[in-house]
Amino acid sequence: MAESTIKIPVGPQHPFLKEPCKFEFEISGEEIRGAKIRMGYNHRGMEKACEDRNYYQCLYLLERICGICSHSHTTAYIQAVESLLGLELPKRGLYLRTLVCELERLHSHLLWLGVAAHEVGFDTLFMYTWRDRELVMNILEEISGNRVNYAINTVGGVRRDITAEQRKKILDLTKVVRERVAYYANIGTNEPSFMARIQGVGKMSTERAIEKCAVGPFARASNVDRDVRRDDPYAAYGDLEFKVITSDSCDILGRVVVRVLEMVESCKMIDQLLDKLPEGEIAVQKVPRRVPAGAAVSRYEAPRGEDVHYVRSNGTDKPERVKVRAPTLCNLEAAAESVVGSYVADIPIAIASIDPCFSCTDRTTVLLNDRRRGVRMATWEELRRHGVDWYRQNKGIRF
Amino acid sequence: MKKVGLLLPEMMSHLAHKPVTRLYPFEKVTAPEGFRGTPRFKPNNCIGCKACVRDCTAEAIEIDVHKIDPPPGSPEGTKPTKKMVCTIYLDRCVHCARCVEVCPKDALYMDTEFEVANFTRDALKIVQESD
Repeated sequence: MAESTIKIPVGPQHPFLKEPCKFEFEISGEEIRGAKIRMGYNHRGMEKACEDRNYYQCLYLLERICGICSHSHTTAYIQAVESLLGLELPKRGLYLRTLVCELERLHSHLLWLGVAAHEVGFDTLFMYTWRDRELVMNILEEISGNRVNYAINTVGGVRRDITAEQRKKILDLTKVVRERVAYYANIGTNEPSFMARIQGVGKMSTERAIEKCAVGPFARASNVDRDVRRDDPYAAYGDLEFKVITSDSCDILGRVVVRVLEMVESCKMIDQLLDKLPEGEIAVQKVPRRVPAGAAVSRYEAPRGEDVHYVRSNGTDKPERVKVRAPTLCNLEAAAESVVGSYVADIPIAIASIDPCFSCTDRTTVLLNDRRRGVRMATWEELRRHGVDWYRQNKGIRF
Repeated sequence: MKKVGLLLPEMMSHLAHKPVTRLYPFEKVTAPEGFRGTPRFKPNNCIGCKACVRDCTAEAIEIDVHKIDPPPGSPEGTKPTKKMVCTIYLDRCVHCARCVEVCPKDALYMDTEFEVANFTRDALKIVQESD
């Protein structure tokens, strides 16, 4: 007898989702047999809005793509613009930019650890990680002027320098975070109630992770050794020594371990950056407002994975096209697949294990070949024939 | 290696601590120095170049330049004066401080005020005029 399954829709509005997205899970009893994903509920039109703004306005608009990785999006965008302008950035500017990158990674991973603990019902850990995240947020607020949208990047460098006092505070912070992270690593890998919920759940094999184009800590937890910081160094990463953390457990436990150990690496990098911090200017003094015509692609290892920005300029002070590929887009399909085989109660943690950010990812959805609405996809040849016929019938013009 | 009660030492240590939650708004909280709070104008410094208007992401700044002719009876050749009417819409502002950075005459600055929420949008429209 064929196995009977039922489909349960989850979303677009659902308590486990922080942002709207629709899932359709096919279940047999308590076990998930299939998962489908449908996006497009959170389109904000930012890419189009960029075409109507100058490069500086776009910078602060794109910062607001994501509240957690705001620095990631500005850095990815600004690197593309700077390469179009052919700017050579002062070393100190690059180091400070990288410093904020790593502080952002620290707070993002602490946030994720808290969210993961919350999704499995371990709210004590959630409270402790978010309390410690506050330390990082306070430092970011002090050096940049805001907790969330740091706005520290500008075309040709950074906007603010750090003082000796702030430098000391950051060094003290890394010491505290190291201790805390060691403690969380102990809990994450030894606490039985936490382990029972994450070990062997949300399995994603190395082969499938590569086929599904997974990125970031999610892919590295499936033993895919990829990291833009090492493979294609940008900013000051070429001068730093760090390990790319991978795990071969291919489950949510692996994702916890990868993120926790990445925080240790981030602390090491922050210490190195402050030790080696060169003297000099923090930004290029005179930057032309008009950007020469051309196109550039920039890659950036955001806390959630590889972030790609494409900028095309036409010689004016406004970009002709800005395209953003947020890391969640790559990971979503893989996350939906990783749920298969788990139980219904594991859905929230399995989806949350990619650290999803739906509003960063959403773009317009165009339905093609929808006969009900009279929409269909046409080839160039069909379109041309249609045009010729339409003009002959309606305007009497013969081509 | 599974161990029970790993969180206990941390939880016990908190018995002797005060809660970390701050009782805002009953307790006053101050933002650190350099915090990008509310943008403010110094209209007398403004020369009406509108560099801030051009670069404002949120289109939150308006500057009207009024020419005032010299009063009758003024000596010949007296130039008309300019009066700047600077408006900031705080409801639109995204607090990026680009306007402060781009102003050539330091006519804008950010203070650390962050409690600007209000019940009406009109209260968030700040109009300042030069002398």
